[in-house]
Amino acid sequence: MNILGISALYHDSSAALVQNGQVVAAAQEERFNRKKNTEEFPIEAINYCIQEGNILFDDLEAIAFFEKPFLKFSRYLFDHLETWPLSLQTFLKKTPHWLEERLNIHELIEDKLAYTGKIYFIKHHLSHASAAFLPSPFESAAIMTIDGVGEWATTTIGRGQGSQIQITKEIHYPHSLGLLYTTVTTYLGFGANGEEGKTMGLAALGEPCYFNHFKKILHQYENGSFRLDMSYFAFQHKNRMWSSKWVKMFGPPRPAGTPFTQHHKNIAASLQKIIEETVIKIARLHQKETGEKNLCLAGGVTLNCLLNAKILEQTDFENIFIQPAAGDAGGSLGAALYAANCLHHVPRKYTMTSASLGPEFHDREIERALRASDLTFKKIEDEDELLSHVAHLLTENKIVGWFQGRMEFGPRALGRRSILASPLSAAMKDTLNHRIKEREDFQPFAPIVPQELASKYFETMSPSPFMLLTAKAHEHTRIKAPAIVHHDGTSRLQTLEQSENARLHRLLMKFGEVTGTPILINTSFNGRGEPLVCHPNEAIACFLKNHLDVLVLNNYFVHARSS
Amino acid sequence: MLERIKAFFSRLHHILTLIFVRFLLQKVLSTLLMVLTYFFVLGPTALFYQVSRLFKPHSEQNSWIEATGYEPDQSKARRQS
Repeated sequence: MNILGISALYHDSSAALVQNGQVVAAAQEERFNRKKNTEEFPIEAINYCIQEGNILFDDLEAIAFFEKPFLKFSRYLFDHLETWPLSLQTFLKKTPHWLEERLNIHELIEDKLAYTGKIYFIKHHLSHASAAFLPSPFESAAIMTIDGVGEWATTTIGRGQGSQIQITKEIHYPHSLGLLYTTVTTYLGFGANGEEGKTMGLAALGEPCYFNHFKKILHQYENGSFRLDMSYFAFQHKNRMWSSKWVKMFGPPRPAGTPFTQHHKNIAASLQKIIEETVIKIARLHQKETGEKNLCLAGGVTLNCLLNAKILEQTDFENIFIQPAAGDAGGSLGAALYAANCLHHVPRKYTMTSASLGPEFHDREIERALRASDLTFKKIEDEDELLSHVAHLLTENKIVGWFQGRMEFGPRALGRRSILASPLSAAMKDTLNHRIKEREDFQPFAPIVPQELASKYFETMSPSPFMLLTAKAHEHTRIKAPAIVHHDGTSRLQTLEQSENARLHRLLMKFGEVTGTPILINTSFNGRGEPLVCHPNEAIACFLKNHLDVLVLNNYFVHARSS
Repeated sequence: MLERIKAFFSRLHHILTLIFVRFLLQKVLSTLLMVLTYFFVLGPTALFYQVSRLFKPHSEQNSWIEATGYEPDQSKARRQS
């Protein structure tokens, strides 16, 4: 049985294909159309999934869309009822988009895919909950989903058992932790729906001295629920998130590109603290209610790895699972799995141990791309020789573009489309931030370490295969590998199992043999404002444009100097 | 020859003007329709909603809502609302 999941028309459009209960392909549209966080209908991601599954559209049992558009439209109308007559401008701007596209999903799918079969519309947070629980290794678990907003829900709690998902309680729009986070993100001069991670990175540099200010904005109740004081927000009727009352409290917003002051850092730190306090309270109460030891998380807010680590640290949950595309991109995966496991009763047998669900390119395609680029390259057939060579160059502080196998699903590069570098010199962080990534200098870099050695270097509480947990670095790690330790002493850790990516695991061990520290910096293989590279051509373009030293595409080796 | 070129450009100008006027008219009419909807359909509903809300203050201690509509049902899942 083939079921195609689609997430589209908001942000991070994606597609996923489930065949007989197994996820065989999943990818974000941005990787194909090269528009970061694109909301466009994911036609290329869908075509990729269909090709990867070796099927035709006629072979699909059903298509599952990740939300219910009419229910979402009722929330859109509610915004206008609530704020009339102030919302005329947004009404005129957004209504055509709703009428032309968002309310015609059925026709849009039929039209774009020439498909006339069944289409399911799975509620947004049910898609999130399904993406969190159904691919998890747990037979039974508590589920929490937290994001900006779906149709009406912004936060839900529930439970998964076997192939059943039960959502018990929810908090409705406009009271939303995700929208609060986005408000601060845009107020600090970053972009909405994609740059919230920068706010999290900035938080480590500040003091939460505005915590009490945020208590006035976000009212927390004894039962874990919360409510926003809407007089501080304008997102219901304006194209900006905050109101003039917010500006009175925190001062004028930071224009993008201007320097960060301590004030900005303190605001980010205060926000992070109140979000953590609120979510941990919900998690504790939910753990008591369900008695579960396992927790599955999803929704954009759960891409916050600082928060996730604190949930594990400060609640009675012993195990946590967060799939790599925890934001809206994962909606396609959740909708497809829900349709398969819960609506069509296909036995639940898929456990997500790898994010490598995207396209793979073979030697012939890579060689063709290299020849077209006029780069000097060589193919090193012997893997041991290739890895020794790369490890040696890494010890010389060379920066390596690493392109291997199937592309990752979700926002993180996890060792298939990565830029690798040595963490042993503190200067490497600035080199990468300024020369390669062209991003703000406070942004941290994540380490990748073999799973079996992680506890030697970090205070790990749980494996972190998808880079969604932070861990405190041991003192000796801070000294030996300063480039991967953030200002607060934590690292956004990726632990790597040998079975998941044997080649990268061997590279880490080789680097460890030479330096005594089997840790590398792992950052996404892309330039500023670009999505992760997908095709070898994009990897070559990024290698040239961003002045990387070395490029390794499967067994093909390119050195910038010889090119 | 010159006359034919002139005639061609005249026709082209005519066609482009028609397209432009049609586009403009469509844009103006649709905007007008939306403005009328906003004030005369949404307006009274919004006033009624905003007044009625004054008499229904929200609970000060609880924002949780019992979740409904999540049952695994194929026919319900096919609905868009």
